[in-house]
Amino acid sequence: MSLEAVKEQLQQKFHSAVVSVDQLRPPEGLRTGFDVIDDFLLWKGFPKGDLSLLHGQPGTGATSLFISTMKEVHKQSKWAAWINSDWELLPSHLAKRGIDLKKLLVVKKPQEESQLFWILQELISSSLFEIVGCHLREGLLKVHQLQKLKKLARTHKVSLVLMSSAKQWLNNPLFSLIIECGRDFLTIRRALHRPTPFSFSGGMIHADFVFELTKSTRALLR
Amino acid sequence: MRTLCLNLQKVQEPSCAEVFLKFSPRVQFRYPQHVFLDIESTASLFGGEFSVLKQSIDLARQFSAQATGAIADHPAVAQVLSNYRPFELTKPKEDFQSLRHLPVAVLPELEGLYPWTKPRQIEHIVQFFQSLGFHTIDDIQHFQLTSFRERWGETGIALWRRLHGKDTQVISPLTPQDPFQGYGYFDDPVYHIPLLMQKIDPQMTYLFLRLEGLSRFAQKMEIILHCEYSQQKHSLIVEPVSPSRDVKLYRDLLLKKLDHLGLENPIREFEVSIFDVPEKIEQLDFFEPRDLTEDRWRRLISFAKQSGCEMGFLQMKPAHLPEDSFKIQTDWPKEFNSKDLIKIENNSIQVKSVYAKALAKSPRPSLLLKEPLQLSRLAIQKLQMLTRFPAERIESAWWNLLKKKEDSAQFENRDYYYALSSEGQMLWVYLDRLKKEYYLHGYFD
Repeated sequence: MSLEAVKEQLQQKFHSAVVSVDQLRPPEGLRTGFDVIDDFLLWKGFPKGDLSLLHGQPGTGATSLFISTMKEVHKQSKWAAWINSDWELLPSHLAKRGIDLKKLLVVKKPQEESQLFWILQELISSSLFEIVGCHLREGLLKVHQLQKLKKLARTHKVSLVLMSSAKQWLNNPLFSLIIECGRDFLTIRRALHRPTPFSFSGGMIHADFVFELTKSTRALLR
Repeated sequence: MRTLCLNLQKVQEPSCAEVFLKFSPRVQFRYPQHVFLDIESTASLFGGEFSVLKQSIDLARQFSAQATGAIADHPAVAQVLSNYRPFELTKPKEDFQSLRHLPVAVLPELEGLYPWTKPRQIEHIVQFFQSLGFHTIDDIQHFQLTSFRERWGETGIALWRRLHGKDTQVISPLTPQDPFQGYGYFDDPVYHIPLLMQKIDPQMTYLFLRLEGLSRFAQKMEIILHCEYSQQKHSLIVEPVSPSRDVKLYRDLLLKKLDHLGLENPIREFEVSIFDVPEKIEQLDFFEPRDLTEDRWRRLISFAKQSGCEMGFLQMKPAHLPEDSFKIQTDWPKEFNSKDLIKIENNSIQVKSVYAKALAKSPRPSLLLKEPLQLSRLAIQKLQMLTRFPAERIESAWWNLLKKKEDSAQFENRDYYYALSSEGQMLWVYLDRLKKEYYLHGYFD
């Protein structure tokens, strides 16, 4: 009996329960460049068309993860966007990490807090960017605004990555992926169809950086 | 001379001829509604005469919905055809064949670039021929020049010459003189933005079509709205990040501006002015593909700029102080070269030294604080310094030492350290050697 005949028989027997291979394909994602994260997550990286949260204080590795994802995005000749907050992305660091500055649109810190939501909407709905990232202070966005951003991100297939140290977001179901960043460990708190929490060493993300620091210190001692 | 005549069907300004400059440099407007183009040498560039006719009518209909046109050897014949047989193309040197079956009533239209000096006399001629039973052009074509001259003098000569294609009319190259300004007046003052835009839109479309014809770009657009009461007026300036001819972009930017405008005092009249620049300013790198993506990000940046939000690309600068080492610009960032340029030619070596070479090797944090944050003594005690000695020293140029007394803010002398906070954050802190204070300057995030 041929494969087609078997498929036909199965379809007759189970009707709608039989789905095509395309429908079994996991949802799209953007690779982070770290195998341990990409292999664990269903999206093989940050979910496309959804919200992700990197929870942690600045200096604990969230931006490194974002930059690494941005690098993967640039490899595909696609664009990324970043909104500065009180902290600004430093291009000399980005250049060293292999980021194409021509494919990264940077927005200065909005003068008014209410502008952040508008900018995020514009960036997402322009359909220019694969990934949009920004730091989010506590109370800067309301839940209904996040819902709207999630809807927009889904429509335009953009991965919106928010970084925050505010505890209010940590258990928010609006985020499909929540990663808690500590310097020593990174813990995936929430991920679709995956057993969480899942922790891995922060050293994997900062490996290059630590090496660089050691190298520069040694050079000074010489 | 192959002539395209466009009949715009309503009174137009002479500047409307500029719209058609893309088809030929020889364009002439004739009051009230005709535009003549010499397409003898340019028709082939646009895919032939019919294609030029079609494209020019499409263009004309953007500001005059009923526009028609025709092509003939002689401007006068082209004008007649544009009115009585629109979209017709005569065969070269066979203008008469197209005219012969037309009624004599078309004679007042047989003008071309120069209108009849005595139009009443032409009407009289038409009536005269009709009363004698001559109803078509073909019927009067056989009369001799002397017959026309004896009966109607100079007018008769001019008419005979035009009927036989002997009247030479030359279209000169157009020299644009009119400013890019539009004006509109409301019979009933308007309170609503959609009604306002309904009137502004055609003016903008017309001005941008003129820009296209003249191969120029709009750097900015100013709209002055005059209110009904108290002589109040609103001035709105729309300026995208780069000169553009995208009328939709300007319209959207204007709409965004109008959103914030209260129209309690209704608008009575408006003025539109465009500040134009030559096309070459818009020209980017010749090899840079100009795709839709670029237009989209330019549009996005323009929107943001108008809303007081700055966005663009990071451009590295050769400066040692981290806060001065970059800027955000709306154009493509240039490659930052951190190596000396060495040129070897015959037996000579030329070294072009580059400033701030060490930048490429110096470790820099991913996040930099906009303003360094001064650390208290307690905060410093809680930090764990990763190196005993400073990892880097950055100081202003020695010649600034002289200025030190005059302006201490200009002078910097910093020792940078890496530190770990009690919460596990990797920090970039520095000791200000002049003030003896520690500052947090960035995060290795």
